[in-house]
Amino acid sequence: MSRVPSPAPPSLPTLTDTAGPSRARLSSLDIARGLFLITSVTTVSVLPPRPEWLRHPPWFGVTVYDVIFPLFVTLSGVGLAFAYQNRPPARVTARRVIVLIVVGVIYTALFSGHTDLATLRLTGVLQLYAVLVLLSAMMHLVVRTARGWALVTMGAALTLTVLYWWFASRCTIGVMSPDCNPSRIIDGAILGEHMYAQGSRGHDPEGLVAIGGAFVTAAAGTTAGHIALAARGRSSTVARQALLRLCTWTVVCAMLGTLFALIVEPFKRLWTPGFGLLTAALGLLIFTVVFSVIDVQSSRRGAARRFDRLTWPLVALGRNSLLVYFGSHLLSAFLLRNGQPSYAERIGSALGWLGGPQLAFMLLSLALWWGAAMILHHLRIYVRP
Amino acid sequence: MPGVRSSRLSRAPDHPALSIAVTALIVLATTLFLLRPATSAEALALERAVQQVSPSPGRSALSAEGLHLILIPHPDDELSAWTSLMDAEHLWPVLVVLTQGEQTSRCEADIGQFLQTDLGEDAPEPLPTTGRGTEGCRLARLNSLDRWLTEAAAATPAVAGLGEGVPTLIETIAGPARVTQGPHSALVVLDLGDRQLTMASVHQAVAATLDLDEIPRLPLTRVTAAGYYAVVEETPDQPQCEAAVLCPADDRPFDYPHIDHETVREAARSLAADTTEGAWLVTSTYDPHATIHLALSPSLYETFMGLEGTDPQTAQRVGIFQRIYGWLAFPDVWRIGELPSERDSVMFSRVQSFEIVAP
Repeated sequence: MSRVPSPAPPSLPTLTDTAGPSRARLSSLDIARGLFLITSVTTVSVLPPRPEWLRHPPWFGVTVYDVIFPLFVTLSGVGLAFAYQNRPPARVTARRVIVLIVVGVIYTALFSGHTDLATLRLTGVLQLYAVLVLLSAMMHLVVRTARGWALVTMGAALTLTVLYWWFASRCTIGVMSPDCNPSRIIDGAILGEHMYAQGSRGHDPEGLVAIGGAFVTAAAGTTAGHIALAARGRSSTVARQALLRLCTWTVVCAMLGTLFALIVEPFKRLWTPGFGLLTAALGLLIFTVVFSVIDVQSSRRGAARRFDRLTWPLVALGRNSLLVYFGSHLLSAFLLRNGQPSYAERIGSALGWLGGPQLAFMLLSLALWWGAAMILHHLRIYVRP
Repeated sequence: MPGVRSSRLSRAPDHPALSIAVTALIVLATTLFLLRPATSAEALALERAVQQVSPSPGRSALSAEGLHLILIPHPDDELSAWTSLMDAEHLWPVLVVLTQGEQTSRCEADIGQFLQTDLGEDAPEPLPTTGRGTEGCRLARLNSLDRWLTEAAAATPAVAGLGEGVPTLIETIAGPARVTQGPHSALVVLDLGDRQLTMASVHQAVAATLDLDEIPRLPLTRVTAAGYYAVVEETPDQPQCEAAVLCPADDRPFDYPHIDHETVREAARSLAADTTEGAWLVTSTYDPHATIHLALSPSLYETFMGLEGTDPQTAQRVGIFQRIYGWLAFPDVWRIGELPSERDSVMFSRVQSFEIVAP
């Protein structure tokens, strides 16, 4: 957690803020994260029975729910470009990674309810994110341009596609299955019973193999981050040029993702490259639209301050994305899994006058996390590893 | 990509909204492509290994390239070759029903044991309580055939008019034939004797059919033997087929060594030389000689074979075939599945396999 010492500015500077062009913060990323978090908090607080599209398929298939976390990874990738543009000290990265992994193991244990140390799951979403931070930090030692990151993204996606295709062609039925997939072999050998479901499901959706695909998604976001950074503090013409490049990069990801998805079935369980690029394209679109409205159009029209006031709540939500994303998952899991009927259902029923138990619990969750994020933002307190 | 050069600044778009709109449309399309229903590895492998055929609108005799004779041992066997019918959209199909299925045990025992009208099965007309080999039994099976073809035509236009058309009774060298013409096909029903088919009688039936004035004068292009035939004892312990997903080692093909089916199969094999596309013999996915595997679409299979519920004892028969031919079903209902299966008693599976005998 960190508290920003400087006094709170009346509004966040936009791309072309003349007060400090080289240090201006891109509020579009925070707003995009804020929009994403509204979706995340509401979908995670759905009362049972959850509809099919809000559940992860057991193996193949892609639902709306599968896309949520990759959106977070994409936008985190954008943020990593911002974070590592100026090469922070290695100890900062090391601390981040260690904190994320330790908190991640505890979070995973609490979330799953499995606390047996002998078979404690070592992988999870925060651990996956920690590895992405580490990879991004290391890659930024040599690659610090959008073009470089675009090549890294495409190269990683192509390599993984070839490897997955090669692996699948060696499976008895010609496609990867829980009995025949690289995660079963690699994660199984390294993690043993410390992997997802203690290895009983034959794969780990946040294991080392899936991290490869998640890296593609994050790298696509990092590329976009560098495109936006190159225009930070520059003229509106440069900003519009960056916008065109963001659009181009988004389309490239969408097209390549489609191509790779035709070669290797896209699905979340192994985070295949096609899945990684196609979900990244969606995340990039969200970022691009917000970048256009907030960092290009608003300053172009001279309406920056009005936009800042309007978007302040979203920025507040986005700037504490880690806390809200994982906190909401943990709290919802606790409320949904405990009690008979669950605490979540009881709360929803008690507030049923808001439009039914389902809507009430969703609104309450959103209000709770959004409210907390706004208070923290007002106090300039941000939860960061 | 990142370096912003001053010489390029003039190329910055004046209408960024247009760029975003185009990008949004592309991403929307690719996201829709990405979203897909949950499926198992086996189902996906099957989808990739087996071509799915769709019903065509049917064509007139004038535009057809040739004749497709579909030899059906008994009324109800036609479904086992439905994909061959749909696959040959360039041909004029002639459904030749060789026997009237009068030896079925369903006409012998108490029909109430096998007919579940409370579960949605249609009662045959007349109720075949008169015993095997009787006129009532023949009529019940033929009426079921007509009703099935009438309803199936809504999903497979190629057989339109065959079920509800007025048949013509014609004396042929193979005996009396009931001939019905539709706009895209013809139905010929013969009476060569249930369980009495011989190679010679099938050959005679084919000759008689080709001689009918009601059949367009087109070259014989394909012959399909529409009788599922598999002998489980002949399946090796380690089955070898085109794709492993087609012959799971933990199952075997549905065992159905019916003598009439074998006869029709061998007769069709011997007719391959008289055709240009060869003979298509219905077999199981486990058959190492199976050269092509075709699948009905899941929705069409549901239309024909749909069951509401998983317990065969209580499942409502909602599919056309289940409803109309339900009184002939074994072991209790026509079991449904992707592949022919001894374990699950599936004969009319979604995937249909053919041994193709070259001309």
